[in-house]
Amino acid sequence: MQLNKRTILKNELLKEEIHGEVIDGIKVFVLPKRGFKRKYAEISVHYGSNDNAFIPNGTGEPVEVLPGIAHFLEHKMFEKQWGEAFSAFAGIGASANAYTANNYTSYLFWTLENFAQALELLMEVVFSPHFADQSVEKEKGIITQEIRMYHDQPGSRLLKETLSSLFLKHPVRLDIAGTESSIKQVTKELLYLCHSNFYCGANTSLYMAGDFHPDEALDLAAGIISSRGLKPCRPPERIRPDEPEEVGGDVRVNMHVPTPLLQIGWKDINLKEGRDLILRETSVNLLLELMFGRSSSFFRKVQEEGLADRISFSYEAWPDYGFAIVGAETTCPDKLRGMVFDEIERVRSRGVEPKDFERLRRTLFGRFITLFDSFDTVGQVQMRLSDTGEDLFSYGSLLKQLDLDTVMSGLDCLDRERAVTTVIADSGKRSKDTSRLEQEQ
Amino acid sequence: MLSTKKGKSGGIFNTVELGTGILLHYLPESKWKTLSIDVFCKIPAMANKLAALSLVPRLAARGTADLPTMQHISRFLEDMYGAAMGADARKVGPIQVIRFGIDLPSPAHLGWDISGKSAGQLVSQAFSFVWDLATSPNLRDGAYPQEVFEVERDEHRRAITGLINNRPYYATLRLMDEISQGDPRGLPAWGKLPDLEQANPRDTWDTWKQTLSQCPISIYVVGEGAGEVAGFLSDYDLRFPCARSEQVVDISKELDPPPLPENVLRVEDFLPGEQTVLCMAFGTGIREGDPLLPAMLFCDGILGGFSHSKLFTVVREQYSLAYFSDTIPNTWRGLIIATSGISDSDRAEVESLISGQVEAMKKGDISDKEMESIRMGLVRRLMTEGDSQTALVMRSLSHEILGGIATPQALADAILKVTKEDVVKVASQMELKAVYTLRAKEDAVEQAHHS
Repeated sequence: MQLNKRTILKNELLKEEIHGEVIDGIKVFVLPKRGFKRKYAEISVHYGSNDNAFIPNGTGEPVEVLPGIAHFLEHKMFEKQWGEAFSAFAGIGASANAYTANNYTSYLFWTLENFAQALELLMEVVFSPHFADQSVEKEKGIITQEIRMYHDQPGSRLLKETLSSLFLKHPVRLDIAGTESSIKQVTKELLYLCHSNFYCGANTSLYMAGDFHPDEALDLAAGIISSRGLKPCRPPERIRPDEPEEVGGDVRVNMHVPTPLLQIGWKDINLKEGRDLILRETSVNLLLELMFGRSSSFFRKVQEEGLADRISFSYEAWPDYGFAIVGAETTCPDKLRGMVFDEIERVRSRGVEPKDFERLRRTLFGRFITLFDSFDTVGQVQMRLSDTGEDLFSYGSLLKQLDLDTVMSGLDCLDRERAVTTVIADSGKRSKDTSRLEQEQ
Repeated sequence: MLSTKKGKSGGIFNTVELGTGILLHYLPESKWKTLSIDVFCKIPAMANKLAALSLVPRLAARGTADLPTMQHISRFLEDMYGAAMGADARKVGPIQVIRFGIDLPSPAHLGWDISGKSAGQLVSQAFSFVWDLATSPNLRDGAYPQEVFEVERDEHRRAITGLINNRPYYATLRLMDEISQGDPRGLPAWGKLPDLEQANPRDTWDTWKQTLSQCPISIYVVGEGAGEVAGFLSDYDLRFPCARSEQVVDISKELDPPPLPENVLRVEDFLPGEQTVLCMAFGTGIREGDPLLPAMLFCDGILGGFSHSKLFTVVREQYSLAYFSDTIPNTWRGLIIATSGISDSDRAEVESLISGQVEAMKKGDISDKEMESIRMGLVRRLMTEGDSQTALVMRSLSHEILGGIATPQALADAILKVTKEDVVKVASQMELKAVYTLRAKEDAVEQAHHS
């Protein structure tokens, strides 16, 4: 999607349009949604928990910052000299929120009315930092509780442990919120440093959705953005460590869970960019569904043997890292792990049925259509796709072009040599199988 | 052809009576890309049958007479462009509700890849599938297959015991369990684990057959194509495994909640972990149907319903004692429940802060700014329900069962009329009824071992 002038993308059958324009460096998208009451806006900054090392603009000197700083920054952006922004949103009828991921930080609101005021406030939240020593100290107690909350959630813990073993150097191995120890060292100076480097127009997207005229929405955004007088900028150079192809060892976590949790992770070393990256992400996810989805023979066997009633799986690709995971809550983690590896080898040697592939491809079309019922998901997908040079409708055409050979080529990322296994179990209870992991220890 | 009555039932849905105690509510609306079909069976909670009946949706999802395995069902859904099946048991007030449903991409948008199936075929197949889930499961010799039953019983037990993995949710469940003091009306939708062990494949099917013959049923169809489904249903033969009774169970006689404890009930559980969850239940005396219900929702909003409410502002922002500290209302029991994730050593301080905020509301310490921001927040929350098919259906279903105000718009209109005096009146009735604490056990913090 070229955005050097106002651009409209359309899908006649879906009756959907996305309007876009670059305004002072910010990529702006509008999804008109006739008949919906909610109006929604999200600003996404291409800066996340992975960006712990970078070369600040104009210095040439690399700096390394504390794990969790992007998340800490997100918390503090709602505090302004005049007070606290959540209440200001509430005062005009809007509800605001924010979240930090590995590669992005997003700020959003939804409202019935006063959209223009809320958008202006959102711009202020993102682009006008105000940090004070006392409030930075105060935030440490809140984030400590957030870290502890996630630490007590077996599902969050499972992914964290898998990633930290799968990646030996890449910062995706670290907790998004950092650690209790790292956040204790955060200062307002560090927050200003990260904000001034990453929170610039050229590193940001704005997405708006609701029942409004797209030109009016773009005009409104243009007025608000230009009034902020954002200086032309470019994001700093991000530094990533050289991640080796090897992975760490298997992990066993002792935690109070009624049933053990199993997760197998694979590090992908066949990294892509642009359209190839989206194609790989789509095809590996389809491959995982073919092998482990509810319609697969594998799942039927797992279910008939009473090993699990749900298998979760996903694959995530970025230009600098990629990984696949398969997991389940199961009384026999070791047995299930063996079955997963055997199934991958079976598919590697025998392939899959073309009719199974066609059925799942049809499923992807259906999911693509219903995606448009979710304002926020459409925005998140569109903003991410735009950073790869794609857009939502070109993603739709990519689905049409997807073939079985491409999907099968994704098997290369499921190499046993680059796999780790995490099991969360209560050491006071024994699994039904005798865990090889325990024997190894 | 069963259609007898048609009209609006006080809500936004068109309503048709398809037979005794069977209501079709449909809403044709093209703004969504999903067509949603749900069948709800409403059952007065019987303590000894809750567990077995809560297994029924699981067993249904394992196979129907036409699609005898989950693999068959999954492939059927994939052929329907990735339609999603839903089958679950829940409680609305004291009523156990068993749901069978499907969400499929609106056929109107499938033209580019419809592969020979007409929109009408898709819609009729979708409804027939949902009806089969409810009424025609895969059986062997007139009972659920034993091996399927055993696997699903195990999985169900695992799901129930696994609720503890979500500690804040588990803590509110334990609070409600304690507050109900064994009264069957207060049991969760899945009943009691010992009853699950007693269930067997034949009795469970027999109980479900009987239930289906007597319970009121609501069918909801929402989205583009809902009108076509209603047309299709006017000629559809809704078959039941047992003859449908001419007199259905009157659930309106079963709505009274169990009494709340007279004195403050205090319960603590211990669990290895890092964060303690504190749950406090405040009785308000205001329940669904009470003219003061909008003021009760207002009270909940001012205390903890939003990220600008008193608990967020005080417990989190001012004292840094929690990441989450919020409230939810229970309009059947007339409760406002406050939940906070805190350090174990801060229990007394946080409880005191929360009680202090309730006392402040009783004294009228509510600014005009708070009143207006909560009013806008509640209205926004209600009006945006109109954007969600699920929210609209659940609002209407709750109204069918518990009564009260029928539509989000009507409730929003009532919210607009609430005064500060109304809020203070409800607040002055707020009384702490129970404190449940899920305490993090400090001497058993988990460790990860990397091999």
